[in-house]
Amino acid sequence: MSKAITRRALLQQAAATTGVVVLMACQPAQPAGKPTEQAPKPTEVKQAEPAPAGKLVIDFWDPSTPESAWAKSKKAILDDFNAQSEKIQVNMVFKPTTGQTQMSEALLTAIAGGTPPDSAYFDRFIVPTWAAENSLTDLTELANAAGIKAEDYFPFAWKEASGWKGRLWALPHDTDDRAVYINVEKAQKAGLDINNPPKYVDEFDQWAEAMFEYEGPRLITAGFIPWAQQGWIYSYGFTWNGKFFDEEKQQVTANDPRIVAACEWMASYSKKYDIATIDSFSQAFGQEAQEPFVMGQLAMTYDGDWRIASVQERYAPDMEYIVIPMPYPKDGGRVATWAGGWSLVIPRGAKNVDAGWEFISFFTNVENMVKFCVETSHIPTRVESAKDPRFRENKWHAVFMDLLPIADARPPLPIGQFLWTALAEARDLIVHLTKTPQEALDDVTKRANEEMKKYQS
Amino acid sequence: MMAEASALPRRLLRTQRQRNIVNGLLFAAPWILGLLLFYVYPIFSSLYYSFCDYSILQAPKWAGIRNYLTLFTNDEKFIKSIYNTLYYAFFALPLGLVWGVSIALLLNMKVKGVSVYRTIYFLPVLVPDVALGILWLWVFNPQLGILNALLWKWFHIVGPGWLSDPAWAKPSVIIISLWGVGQAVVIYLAGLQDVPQELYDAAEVDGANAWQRIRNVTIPMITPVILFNLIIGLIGAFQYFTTAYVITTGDGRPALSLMFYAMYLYQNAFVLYKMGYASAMAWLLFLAAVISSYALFRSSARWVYYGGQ
Amino acid sequence: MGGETVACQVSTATGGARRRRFWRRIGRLWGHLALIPLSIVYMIPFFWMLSTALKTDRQVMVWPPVWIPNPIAWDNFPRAIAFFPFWRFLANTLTIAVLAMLGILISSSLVAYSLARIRWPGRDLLFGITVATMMLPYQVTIIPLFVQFTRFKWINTYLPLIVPAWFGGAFYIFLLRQFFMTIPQELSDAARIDGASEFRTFYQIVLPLARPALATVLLFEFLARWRDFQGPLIYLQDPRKYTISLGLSYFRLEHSTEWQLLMAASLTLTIPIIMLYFLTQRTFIQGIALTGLKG
Repeated sequence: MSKAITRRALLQQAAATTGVVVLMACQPAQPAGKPTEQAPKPTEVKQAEPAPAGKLVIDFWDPSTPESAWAKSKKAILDDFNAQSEKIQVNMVFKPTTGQTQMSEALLTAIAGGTPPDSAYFDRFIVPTWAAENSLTDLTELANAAGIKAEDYFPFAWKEASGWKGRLWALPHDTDDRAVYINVEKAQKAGLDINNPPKYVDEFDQWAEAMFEYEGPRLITAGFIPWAQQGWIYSYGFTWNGKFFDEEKQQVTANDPRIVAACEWMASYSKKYDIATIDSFSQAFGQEAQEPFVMGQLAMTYDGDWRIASVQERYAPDMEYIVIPMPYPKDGGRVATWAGGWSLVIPRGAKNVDAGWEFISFFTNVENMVKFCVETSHIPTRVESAKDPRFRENKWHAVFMDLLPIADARPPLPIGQFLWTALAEARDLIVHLTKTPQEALDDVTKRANEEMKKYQS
Repeated sequence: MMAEASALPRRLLRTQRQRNIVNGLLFAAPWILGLLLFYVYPIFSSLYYSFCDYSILQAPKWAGIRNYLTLFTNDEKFIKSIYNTLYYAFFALPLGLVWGVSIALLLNMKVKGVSVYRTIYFLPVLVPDVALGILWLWVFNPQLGILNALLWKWFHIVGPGWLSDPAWAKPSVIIISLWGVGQAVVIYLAGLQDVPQELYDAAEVDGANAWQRIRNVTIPMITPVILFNLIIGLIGAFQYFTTAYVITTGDGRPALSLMFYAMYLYQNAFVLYKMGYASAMAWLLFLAAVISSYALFRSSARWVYYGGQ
Repeated sequence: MGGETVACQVSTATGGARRRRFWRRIGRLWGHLALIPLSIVYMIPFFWMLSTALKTDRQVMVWPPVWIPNPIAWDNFPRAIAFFPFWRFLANTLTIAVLAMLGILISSSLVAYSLARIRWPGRDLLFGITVATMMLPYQVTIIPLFVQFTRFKWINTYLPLIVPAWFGGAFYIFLLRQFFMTIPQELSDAARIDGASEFRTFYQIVLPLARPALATVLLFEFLARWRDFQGPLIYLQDPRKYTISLGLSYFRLEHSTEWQLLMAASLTLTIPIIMLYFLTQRTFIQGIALTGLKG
């Protein structure tokens, strides 16, 4: 019976199996052959830089993809640094961010494994958490020695960078802030006076209502969806003049009546317009691929300054729009926005702190910050850099620049990410009317304060 | 190494039993070593973390059973994620099984162009997950998606809100999971090749119709791979993550209806810096999976047919 | 079970032969009728990938989505390939994949043989442990595993991505065990009586009969390596060592994604796999049924 399977048959089997492997190995490498010649290899050239003899080589971990304007601009600054420094050679390493945060799991694991880089581009929002977890190098003394002070920066940026124990843990770099975009064509079609945009939120609601457009039962254009794009609880909480954190009591106060009121206002849109329908406009497009405002499905949107360069100019250069600060409630509201953005840090356990500092302070100096922000349409965090007239060339960008001095930061707390996630979920539950704003925010407040205890003892 | 094993003098290994022990261990040696090298430390570390406050950034601090206690007494989201995951497993698992076997049977027919069909049914497995996520958001978009458009055109039904309606979100991802049966189908197909043609011929001679042949010949013969796919499917459903994560960018919208167990676990571990808490969740999941698969294995003695025994 | 009873009653087929052929033809017709519409449904994701890969920047943003792009942006392909060190990453990925596939194939089949066809006292326990290792979510072992590889000084090398494969993988061991269990015991017994060693039985009898399963293992491991994002992300620190899956993340910009380029690159990588899968179909379908139990 078993004799049917001979050694030779077996060898053939083995050959066939190896054949599969080899074939798999070769196949993709040779289709057409042409692309190889056509393809320029910009990234390859960049990475293959030899370190000049005698120079100390340090790594700079960065989350921006090498072919982006963002990365290229950073690379140029880095090249300048390498050219002027006799002792240090900085190597830029692309580490993609993962998951919901602007952080790379690679950095987290590298810290845990004790193999962090000497410098990294880092979401400023999570600086307090990493500082509280003893994972960043304290830069206070180095900054003092270099004459870097709080007044050099906009308040929100310094607040985040020094959000833990009042020490400095990061050098702020670029930033962003938020305001309302209005589609001019849609407004005019609805008979609204675009030269006289709403200032208060009740006028704004009327504008929104006027721009809701149906075709039979089907929604064609939504006037406004409070929770689309950058419509977070933070966004309206600040506009309604709510306080998320009580400095004196060191307590989270997400259930501040003003914030509850802001959420009531968000929920009013769910009640007034069919939630499933408008929600499909706001979220079901997934990430940024299908952009409802650009496609005319959303007449007004609350979004960041980056929209001008990365969405409007790119996908709808002919579309006419205006930008206004978010309208606020007459009684007790205010003009507000919040700013996020990036910074440069030296992770704990870095082997070359001084070299790292030399690099990150060079990278974030006034001229380089201007250079980077102009090239990439970002906003600088240094007051001096922001004075460059080029940031005001686009009149809508100027609106965002005007908002900077009053921009809030999200409370710089070690539980910042926790609070962010909890508020994002609360928003979702509120607008789906699963929970009342009071219930949802009470719950967030309670849980956040429980988390805070860990850092208060 | 193996050759030496068998070349051991027969005198030393007097009985078949002794030979079996030596051979069994030798053949399994790579894996036993692998377990010791790559599994023991990480697995027991995570068990230890589950009793600690561990942010990853700093060394773990012993916390006793606090993580477990909090999970059960003070975490709505945890309970919600269990419900969502069980819901998903309860429907997706049997549905996937029947669907996968049916497609495999169809693809096992000796029809023209079957290789083409087989490739087609495998295609979704090859499309990157991020791309699939966006596609499903398009297809299931209640306003302008293809699905509701067709429902209206063909049946005059106004389709539901699918992924943007908390009541429909889970059924939507269960439907989506049916596109991913390609991997299981490949395994079923491989299993179907082991059914000897003689059995079919004999059954046909006996006058068995197509359904009876499937019921009495094919299915019993592929029960070993069905068991495999069931166990793997169970583990996969308990750890269901990728599609829902991509569709909701990790936050389980709408209204936490797509917050699955593994998503919440991931959120704790890598977003909220609560690796200890996540580890406690992982060990509870582990226990649940072990118990359910043990039950499956026990029952398998009654319905799985191994040709080799 | 059912199979055995039927198998015992082999008789010569004569009378029903014509009728049977007729029904078989009807059956096939139904087969096509079921397969064709379903095929279209299963091709949607692929079509969409293809269509996006051929769209211009602007067309990606059109709603409702257009299925047939106009104009067709063929230059997305060269652009996508130039966006990251495509060929280098491809070579890296293939190196990892081929070495891991070889390791997985050899080690897992040996272990599965032990679990399926040798009776030894600890075997059920080991099998239980094997299946159980898949039940602990991987998210919580990433960190300690990383720490361990740091101690091995394996960071920034391919070793963490390849070496474990040479010690077997639970999924594959379980899979192969299930297949090995179906091979009739008489085959092994006959070999043993002929004086074949256990290894020879494994190598000359069991492996050839499990060819479709082995091909499946290779295919799955290949795809797993191809897609692995987390592993290369955390273990590789030098971008020159990066793999294709990391390469695809190059298309994610700060506030947007270059979808059309991402799809073009994915497609360039996927089409050879599809062709290969198509062409190697025979390997997946030749088992006992075709090699036969002659003798």
